[in-house]
Amino acid sequence: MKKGISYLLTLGLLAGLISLPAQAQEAAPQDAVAGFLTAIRSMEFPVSDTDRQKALITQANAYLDLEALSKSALADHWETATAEDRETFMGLLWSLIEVIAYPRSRDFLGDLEIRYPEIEPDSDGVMIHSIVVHEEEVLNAEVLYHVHEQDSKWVIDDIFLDGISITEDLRYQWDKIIQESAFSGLLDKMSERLAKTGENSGKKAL
Amino acid sequence: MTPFQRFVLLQARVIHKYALAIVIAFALITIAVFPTASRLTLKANFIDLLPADMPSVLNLEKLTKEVGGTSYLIAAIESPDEDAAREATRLFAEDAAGFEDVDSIDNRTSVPAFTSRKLLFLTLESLEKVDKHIHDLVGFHRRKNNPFYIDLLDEPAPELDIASLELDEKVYRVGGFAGKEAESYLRVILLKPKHPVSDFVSSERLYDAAAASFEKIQASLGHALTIGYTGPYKTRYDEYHVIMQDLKRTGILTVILIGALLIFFFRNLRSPLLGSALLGIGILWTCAFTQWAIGYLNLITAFLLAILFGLGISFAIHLLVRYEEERKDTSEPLVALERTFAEVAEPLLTSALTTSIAFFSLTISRFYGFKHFGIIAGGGILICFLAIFYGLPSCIMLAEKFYRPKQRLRSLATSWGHPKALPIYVILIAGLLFSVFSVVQAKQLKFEFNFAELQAEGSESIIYADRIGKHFGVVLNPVVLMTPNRKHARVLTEKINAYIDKNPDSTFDFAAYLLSHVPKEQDKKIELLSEIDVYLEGRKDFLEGLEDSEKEAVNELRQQLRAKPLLLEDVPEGIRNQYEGKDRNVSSVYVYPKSSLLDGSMAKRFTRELRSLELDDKVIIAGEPVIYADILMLLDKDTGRAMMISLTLVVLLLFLHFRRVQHVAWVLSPVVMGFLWLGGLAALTGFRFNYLNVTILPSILGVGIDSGVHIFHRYKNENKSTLFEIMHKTGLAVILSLLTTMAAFGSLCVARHRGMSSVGELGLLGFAACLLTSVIFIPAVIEFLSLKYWNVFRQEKPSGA
Repeated sequence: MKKGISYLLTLGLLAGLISLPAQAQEAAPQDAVAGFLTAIRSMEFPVSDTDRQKALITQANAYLDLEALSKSALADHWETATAEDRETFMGLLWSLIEVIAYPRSRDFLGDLEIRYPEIEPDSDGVMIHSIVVHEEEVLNAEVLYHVHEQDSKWVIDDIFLDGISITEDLRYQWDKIIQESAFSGLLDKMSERLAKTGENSGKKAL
Repeated sequence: MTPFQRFVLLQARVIHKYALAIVIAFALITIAVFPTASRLTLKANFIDLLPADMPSVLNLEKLTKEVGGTSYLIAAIESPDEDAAREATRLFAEDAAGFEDVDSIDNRTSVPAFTSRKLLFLTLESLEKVDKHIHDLVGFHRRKNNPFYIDLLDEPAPELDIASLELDEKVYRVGGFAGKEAESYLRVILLKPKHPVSDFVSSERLYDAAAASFEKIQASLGHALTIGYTGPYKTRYDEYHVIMQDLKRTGILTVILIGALLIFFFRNLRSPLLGSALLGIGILWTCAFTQWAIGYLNLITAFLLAILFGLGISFAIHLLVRYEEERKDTSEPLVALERTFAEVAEPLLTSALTTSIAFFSLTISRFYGFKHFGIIAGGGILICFLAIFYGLPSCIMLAEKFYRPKQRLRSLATSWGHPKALPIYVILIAGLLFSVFSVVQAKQLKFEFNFAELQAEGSESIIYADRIGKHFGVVLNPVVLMTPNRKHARVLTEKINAYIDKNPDSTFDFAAYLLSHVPKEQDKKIELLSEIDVYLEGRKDFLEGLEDSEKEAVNELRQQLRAKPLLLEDVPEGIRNQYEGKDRNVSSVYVYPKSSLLDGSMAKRFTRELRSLELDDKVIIAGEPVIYADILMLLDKDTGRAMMISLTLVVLLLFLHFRRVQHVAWVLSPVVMGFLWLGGLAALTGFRFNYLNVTILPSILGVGIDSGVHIFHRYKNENKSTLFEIMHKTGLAVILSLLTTMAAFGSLCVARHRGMSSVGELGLLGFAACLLTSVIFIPAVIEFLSLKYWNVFRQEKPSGA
């Protein structure tokens, strides 16, 4: 029960895997979310088949517009960063997603049902409402995915929990670090976290 | 022969002839007055040190009549287990409400009207902080549990800074009365007794009932639980018991020390026994006189009986020493008695009268510490004088018929060697140097204003008062301003709180009236609480994901979020009575001080500041702190005045008696130098004067003069001029008198009550100074002057010639 929220959130992210085939690109926005969650649910930790794992990561990554999310979260800091810094940043962020976010999502997914009660278009995309259905109703959690079309594909650029977007949470954190130790400080922190996670868990994601 | 000398010789013959009748008369009088003397009681309340018609006393009585006073018995219940502390407090409050001596209970920690509305007592700003904290907490857990959130900061869980939350009114701290200390949970209940603070019998019954109740609760709950008491009821009760115990202990010690001294010097049992017995009778008569004249002893006069023993014994010593000396030269007791009376009656009477007048002069003071001391000591000295002057020779005359002790009086000459060898110059130089030191140190003398420092060391009630005060951030002895109605109280409260805001150095902490207990801006607060409730309601999933302890805290919080407005009607009756009384004739404003008013200097500043507020005539200031302040203000005003009047009367009396300024100056010289040296000794030892011990300064004056009178009489009458000759006879009596007085005061030094022991310390220093000046320094000065420059007394004819 202590980590119920984590389960719920993970379930929200992964529930779509139950009903949808593992395809990288879909025509409907809801299918992008479902495909993303299916790819994550198919991963295994610790890794036994490296090639399969790599393929699933590539598949999941294809549903994420991490650069759009980063640009939004970093705001002005993105604009002022050098091309090299941006490249380093994105590289580190992808790695962190792969070694931290995917295992956590997978671990907490379970076999819970995911419902999609509402799809809500907005000015720059579509908001997919999902409900992670738990055995105890009180644990049901609503997770929202914002998707937009990019190169004729629907990709996820934000996730909302408790009405707050992850972009906002990350913006708060990254801005704080940059204010204290500049963009290089953020890169250092990301590197440290990546190294620390690698030490703790080995190359789980790979 | 003068008429006085003829009268004195007549007395000697009457005593010799009617000794048995006098002894029987003494016995009958003693039996007759014993019941009166035995009714003498102690009132250990500060209010009994002030006249009953003093405004602060009248106001306190009015306050007591209207709202039952401000005094409570405060019970503090502690346990390492929070639930046990809560339950024990609830059970004890239930029990205590049924105690025979309890009028009402104020157990705010268990009043549902308060416990269900805790958050309403916070300021709106603090509630907004709570709201923000809840959002931060939810955000933290959201981020922590979001699989896609990469935490680079290892951010700690947000903590609500409880200390930053402010209560709408500081008076709610008093209402808080529950909290966690380092090792335990402390809960406090206020018990309002039916009886006054000074009714120790009822207090004792109340403590017994409380102890029995708590013992039962301890057994039923089975947790480590303790209870402690504080508040004026407990403080005064403890003080009363400590003083009573001290009086017994020091009384016994006084008798032992004085008895030992007398036996050592007289080298027989008869003289000390007869002297002590007659003095005991004199003191018993003094008790009866006190009961008749005053009716009780107060905190200061309680020490007097031991002191009187020390003062009165000097009459017996002078008589006995002289009688023993004369008895060596004659086998006739009557002749020895006549010679003794011829020699000592005049100085004894002069000494008794001057000492008595010195004490009686204190009666001009409105401070009962002085006034009653003056009446009892002044009357007691005369009574003891009469008891000894007639009773002791009568007993000796009777005893002489049956038993004549073989051991004779110890001689200073044989005991201490020939005093001619005494280095007069060394004494003079040392005395002068110490006098200079004393003058220089005069500014260093310290006065202890803190009343708490006079209580017994380690007093439970003082320790608990301090702990509760620190724990809850409130000094629990407010002063009350009684106003005619609630509107008046509101205006006054606002005025004082505005004054505090403008004057950060004010001694006031805050003011509160009845409606201060009703939270402000309740509509806005309830709306905000409701928003928080809705927010949390929508995050049930979040709550389920919390740690158990966090979940419990949030659930407890949620119970407070649906608070309904607290109305005046919801305020418990006990609190309403506390402000407006059962009859609702008045509405009171409580002004709390920033620091304890047991510190007298603070009490004085506080009271002066309160009185400077230009309160209208309808406002009455009352409370124990005002009593403390008035005591100190009266002391400030009367101590110097009483001493001056005392000294003036003594000088006048001495002048009437001796009719020569030079002689009066010599008589006064030991006491004047004694006081100077007392200052030096006090500075040297770091001694602190206080409002209790300064009351014995007139005693030192009286005894110092007594010594001066006897020494001077000896010089004057016997034409002796060497230190050896003076020390040989009269010196012995003076030394023994001073030593017995020092023994009486010295025994007080072992008292647990620090005020009482400080009286002993001052007596010891004062009489030691007088001993040194009257038997060493001044005789050395006289000898020096007589031998080297002037013939101080040789030209004088003995007064008895």
